[in-house]
Amino acid sequence: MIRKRNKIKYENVSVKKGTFIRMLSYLIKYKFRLLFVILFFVVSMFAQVYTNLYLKILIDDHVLRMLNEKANGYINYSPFYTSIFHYIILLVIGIICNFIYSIMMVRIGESIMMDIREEMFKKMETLPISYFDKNDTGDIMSRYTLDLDTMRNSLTNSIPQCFAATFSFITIIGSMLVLSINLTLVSISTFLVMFFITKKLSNISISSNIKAQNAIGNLDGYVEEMIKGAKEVKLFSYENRNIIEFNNKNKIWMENAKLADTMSIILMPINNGFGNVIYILSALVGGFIVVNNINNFYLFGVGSLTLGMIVSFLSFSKNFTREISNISSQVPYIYQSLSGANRIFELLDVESEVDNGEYRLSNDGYWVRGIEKIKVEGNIEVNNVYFSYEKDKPILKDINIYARPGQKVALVGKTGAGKTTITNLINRFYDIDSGLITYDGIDIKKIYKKDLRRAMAIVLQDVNLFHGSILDNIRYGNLNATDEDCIRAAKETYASFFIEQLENGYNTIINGDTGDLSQGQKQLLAIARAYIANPPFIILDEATSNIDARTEKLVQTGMDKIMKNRTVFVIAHRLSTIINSDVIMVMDNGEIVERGSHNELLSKKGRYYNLYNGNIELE
Amino acid sequence: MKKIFELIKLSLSNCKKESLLSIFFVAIETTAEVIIPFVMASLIDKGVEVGDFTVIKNTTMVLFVLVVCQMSTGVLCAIFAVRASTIFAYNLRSNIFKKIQTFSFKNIDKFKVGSLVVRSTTDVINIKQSYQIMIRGIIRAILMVVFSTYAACKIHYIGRYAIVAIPFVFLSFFIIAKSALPIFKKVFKSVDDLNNNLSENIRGIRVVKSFSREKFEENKFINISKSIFKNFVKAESIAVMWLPIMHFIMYTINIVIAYFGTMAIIESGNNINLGLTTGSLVSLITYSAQMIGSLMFLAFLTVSLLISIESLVRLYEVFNEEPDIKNIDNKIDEIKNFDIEFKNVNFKYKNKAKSNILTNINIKINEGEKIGIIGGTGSGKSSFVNLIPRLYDVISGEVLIGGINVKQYDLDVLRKSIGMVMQKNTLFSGTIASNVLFGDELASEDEIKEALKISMAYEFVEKKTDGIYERVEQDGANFSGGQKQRICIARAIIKKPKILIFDDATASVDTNTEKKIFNEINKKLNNCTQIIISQKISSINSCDKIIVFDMGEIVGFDTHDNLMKTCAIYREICDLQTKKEND
Repeated sequence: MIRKRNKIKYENVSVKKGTFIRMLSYLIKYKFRLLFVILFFVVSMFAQVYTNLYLKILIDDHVLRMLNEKANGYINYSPFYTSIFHYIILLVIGIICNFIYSIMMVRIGESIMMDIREEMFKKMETLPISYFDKNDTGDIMSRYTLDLDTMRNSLTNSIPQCFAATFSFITIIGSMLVLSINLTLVSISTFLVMFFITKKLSNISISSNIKAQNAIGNLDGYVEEMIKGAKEVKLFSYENRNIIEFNNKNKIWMENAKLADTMSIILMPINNGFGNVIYILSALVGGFIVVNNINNFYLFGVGSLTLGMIVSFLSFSKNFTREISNISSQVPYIYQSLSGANRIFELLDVESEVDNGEYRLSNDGYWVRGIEKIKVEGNIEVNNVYFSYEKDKPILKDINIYARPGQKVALVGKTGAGKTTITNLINRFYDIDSGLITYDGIDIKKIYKKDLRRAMAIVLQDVNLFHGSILDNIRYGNLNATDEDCIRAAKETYASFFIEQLENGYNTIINGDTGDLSQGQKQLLAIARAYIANPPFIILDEATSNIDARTEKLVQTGMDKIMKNRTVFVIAHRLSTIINSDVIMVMDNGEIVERGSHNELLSKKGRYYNLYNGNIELE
Repeated sequence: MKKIFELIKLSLSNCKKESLLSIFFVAIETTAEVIIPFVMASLIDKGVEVGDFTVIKNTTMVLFVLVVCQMSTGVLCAIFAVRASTIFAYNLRSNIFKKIQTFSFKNIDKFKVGSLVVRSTTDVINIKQSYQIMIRGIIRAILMVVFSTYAACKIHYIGRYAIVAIPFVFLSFFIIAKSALPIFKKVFKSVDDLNNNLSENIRGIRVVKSFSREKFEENKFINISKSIFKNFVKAESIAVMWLPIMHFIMYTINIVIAYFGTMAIIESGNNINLGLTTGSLVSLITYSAQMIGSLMFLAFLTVSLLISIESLVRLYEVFNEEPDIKNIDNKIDEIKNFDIEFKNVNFKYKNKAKSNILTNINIKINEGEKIGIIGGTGSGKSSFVNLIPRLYDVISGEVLIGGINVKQYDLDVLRKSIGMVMQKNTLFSGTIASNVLFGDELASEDEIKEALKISMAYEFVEKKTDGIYERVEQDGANFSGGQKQRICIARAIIKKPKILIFDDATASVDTNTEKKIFNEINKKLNNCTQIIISQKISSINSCDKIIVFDMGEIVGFDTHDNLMKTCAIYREICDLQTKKEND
């Protein structure tokens, strides 16, 4: 199977309407706590603002008074001490509030992360196989990691900051308009120039940033390809050519990264500078208006501008630019988080696999519907089944298979002939387009999927194990199995041979995808796992393809044990392993072209005969 | 540790000028930034408040010049800092990749593929970011601290009280970092666990569903998720203390200066000549606040530097790794004779492994001979041939070519004379031609076609729309197994090797084509030693001699007919395979 490379293109994600509201809705659960956060935040902000004011109070109310008193010979220090004391209390409260709201915000942010994460996972486990076949692993993973992270950051950081900044921006603009519309216009027009430049620069930055990201992706892929192909690189002495090629790609990255970084960094001094320019122009124009006695329009009428008004206006204009850059620095993050949120909601909105039916599987081996009990015999019938993954591209055409209890049915044919697809249908990973599949005479659609799958174990070519001990991995087939049961299963399927040679034997911890074990060893484990599940039906899809012929001969005894008294579907590349099947179906292009026992098929001298003698490539 | 500087020095070699210019401009920018508020204050005090338009006009002119100066030096600094850091990153990455190219498999296994990829991309970017921060941000923050401390002290000796804050800022920074870091490390571990769990579930969804383990997996996931939550909250709760603590320090300094300042003003009677005045008290507090603010910023930047130190160490590990297969000092550049000989060779992949993969191998293959190799998986066949082009080195014993130990030959010379095709070959993304050119970059189009004809690949290549320039996806995903093998055979043949090794190279090719390929090779590559590993007796029984491997030892080396008589294991394999034909 081919693992697609994980390339996510964010620029293509269109943000749906309502994403923002839906994102905010995750905050509702924490509304009371958020109210407290706001309260504490306001108090601590007040303490911070008061610090700036306090100096003026100190000088006007105390220093000047005490200076006067000094001239009179007696200084009353006590109001000064009380004032300092009150100031200290206020600051202490401010600091405590700061502590509390910070910690609360951490908890809220992490709780939201946990909520969404778990919601996503629960949802994911219910999704149909087709979702996983269509979407790349890396792509699904990044929804949990990258997307969730940007969403959290946005919810707990960017959005609140943006709200606060917008709020104070409005107050500032209001105050500026109250003082002078003329000067406000000067400020705003300068700001528009700045905005225009900023926009131009950040556009360049964004587009070259995408190029730089892609260049990194290319480098990433190149390094991976060349290290994975290190054997070839060495055998063909490709090292030097490799370095040249790598540096070409590296250079492309450098040029784009240079442009992207430069454009985004020079925004800082430029914005800063424009902030100062607004200040200077306001002072200049203000002075000009006063000196030439020009009419000053303000929100409540027309009048003359006073010097005091200019001083106040100037202090506002400084904050004006600060708040704007606050907002504009957060907007990209919010936008990014929206496309992240979009991808998260996309996953949450995929339709779950519906699991309803009439029949359940009882532990004593019956299909049960109400009081009706049908013994699980092991009959599977596939009648006139048609199937396609995509409309108008039929994969299976008129498939008929009859598997009797205890029979071994083999499916052979070229890669892509439709063998695996048949197994996908009999455990209902996919639903058929037309036809009928029955288990012991019951329509497959009337059996609960969970029970249907419980009745059937699969061993695939690509074995998936889970992080944990060897024992845990065997027990995955049957959670109630004791350690002894697991060890017995391993012995009977010959997995014990390699397990016992591991340093910690059955307690060796293995990882899902790392290469701790060879493919063959993994397959042996998967066989043991299926064995302990003890189901009436088994699918072996290239189950022994990575076990060499001699070991396979040993494993065969174990395999025979697994297959005994069960209905088995076998797909095998190595035809020697299916010789003793009860019936062999030769598939080509989604159809069964030959069927019969090994000897019958050989004597036909048809397709099977040619496959068997290696005259047709299987891959 | 010396190597780490060597790596930095090497990578900084052609961007020193840019780095210094960046520092130079940031110094001017910072100076302007410190002066501007001064001038602004005097604009208000002496201009606006008094209503003197000439003063306003003149002061705004001065301000304007300063602002332009600040803006332009800021822009210049950004340009040079970015230039310096991206060139630095380019060099770092290039040096690391060069180093990786010298790695043997043992070296690569030590790091793992994924980690080497991360090191040459993400880690390099982290370092680039930090270098940028260092030559811009850190210099700027330090200058700000210095300027504002200087200004505060200059105004009045009370300003010196602010200096007391410096150790406290750093002390609290280190305490917080020290106590939060181990918990963060735990968090990262749980995040790794979570990601592993996720990828296991996504990849293994068929297993989960077919055993109906959805609920079971859900509980596992929720457990990890909860532990991330717990540790994250713990770690972040410590980290967020930073801001309130900084506020505490800043407020304390404020109060101390306010108190002593007030006392000093009263002492002096608000007379500038006798000491502090109300006006300078305001500046004093402003500067001390600015100093602490810059200190905070400095600490903040230090965090991002610390993150990249880990990255730097990881790069250093790669750079410091000694390739364990390399040329000796007085290497031999010519191979005169291609007889291959193994003398008492023992081999295992990991020094720690208990048992050998190959034990006591003694064998001689003459130039031009055609040798077959057979044996079970893990019997040592592939390891045996891997030793010939020195993909691995022996643990003990010698591998000789033409009577000379392979370790004495130049690696390129040795490997250029050997063509090797494996069962699982890597095709690289590019075209069919670019893949064949891997074998010989100077080969002409005709030579490529000729090689493809020998390997029986030309028949399907010809049918492609772009012929030999048909695109090849990564791993050759758009070709079947048999087709890939045939392209790879062409790639090895075009080298015109003196020794040709097929390690199960025709496993996916049908028997007729396989026969044709061998016929062509025998015709076109004369006097080339052929070593053919196969699972199928039929592919090798016509060889001059056959080596039979079992459990890492050679248990037979003779012709097919003789082995049938003398070698039990060979007979067993034969029986197994001929049984099928008689069925």
